[in-house]
Amino acid sequence: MRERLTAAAGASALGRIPGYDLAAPSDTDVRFALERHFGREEADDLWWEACAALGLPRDRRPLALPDVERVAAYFECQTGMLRIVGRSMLIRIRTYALLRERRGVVAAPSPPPSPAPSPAPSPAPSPDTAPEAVPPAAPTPALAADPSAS
Amino acid sequence: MTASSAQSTPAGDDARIAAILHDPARLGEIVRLGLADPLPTGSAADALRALVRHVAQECDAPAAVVGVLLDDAQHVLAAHGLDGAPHLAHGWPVEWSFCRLTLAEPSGVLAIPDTTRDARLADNPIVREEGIRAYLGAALRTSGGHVLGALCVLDVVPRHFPAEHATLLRALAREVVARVEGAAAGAA
Repeated sequence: MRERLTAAAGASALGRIPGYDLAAPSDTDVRFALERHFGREEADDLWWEACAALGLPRDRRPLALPDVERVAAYFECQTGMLRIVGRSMLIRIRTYALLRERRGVVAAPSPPPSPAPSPAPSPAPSPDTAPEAVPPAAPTPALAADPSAS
Repeated sequence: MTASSAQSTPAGDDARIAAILHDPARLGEIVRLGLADPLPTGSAADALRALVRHVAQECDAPAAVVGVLLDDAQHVLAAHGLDGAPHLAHGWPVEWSFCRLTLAEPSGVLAIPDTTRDARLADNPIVREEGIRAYLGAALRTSGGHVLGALCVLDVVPRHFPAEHATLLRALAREVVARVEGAAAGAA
């Protein structure tokens, strides 16, 4: 890839999915996407609004992946460009979580997720909460074994 | 009808693709059409599923996808034959998307007969890890001229797609857009 199209350039190599070079999406990625569409100042406001709605401390960074997922789900429930940002990040987060489970990747150390209850719709809990290794699973091809079943 | 099958990308194409991908007007059109919403349900979903099944069968391909290009991810609106993480996550990171390459195709149709021999896909995990070896995609271009994504077929073996497959895909891509625009107009 000649030019990285997304925000994950600064992510640690630790926790990357082998073969996929995919790092766990972070709060930096979400904020980068917000800034791209709204500018720095409005992105900050939107971020803090989301943190307030979800009961997350506004200056707590980095966020644990489950909290990043909650923020993305919050934005997905909004209108306009926020919905695009939220949906994109949720797809990236879920892809990462599924591949990590499949490949048995050791997650990068991260703070524990916030215990605060969320008034916004909560996504399914991510397995990305602890830095322990997941037992490797057999690779699953991208295509169904029986296409007619899909 | 010509379907591009270039083996390398001019250096400027990545920047051009990124500019189109993040174009606020294009993304606004996606929002307006409800394509950043959760997956369609009911008759709209059934129609799209039937369409991708049909295109896969007609092209004798194991998989077909209607993919919408968001800013950082490709959202799978409908799929036939897709499994594993791409199926469960309803998409994948946009930098892995073959469909984003259609953004740089003036013809709107892109054929990649052997993904392992295409310089643009040398590091792509969909090729290396998921084993996708051939791609044919037609851009989903709205009546306003914005490309939403692509209707595509995928295969796990290298193959040349005949011109009639490109013609079919282009026609069905127009049908997808007509359905999506019609649904949005009906909901307004």
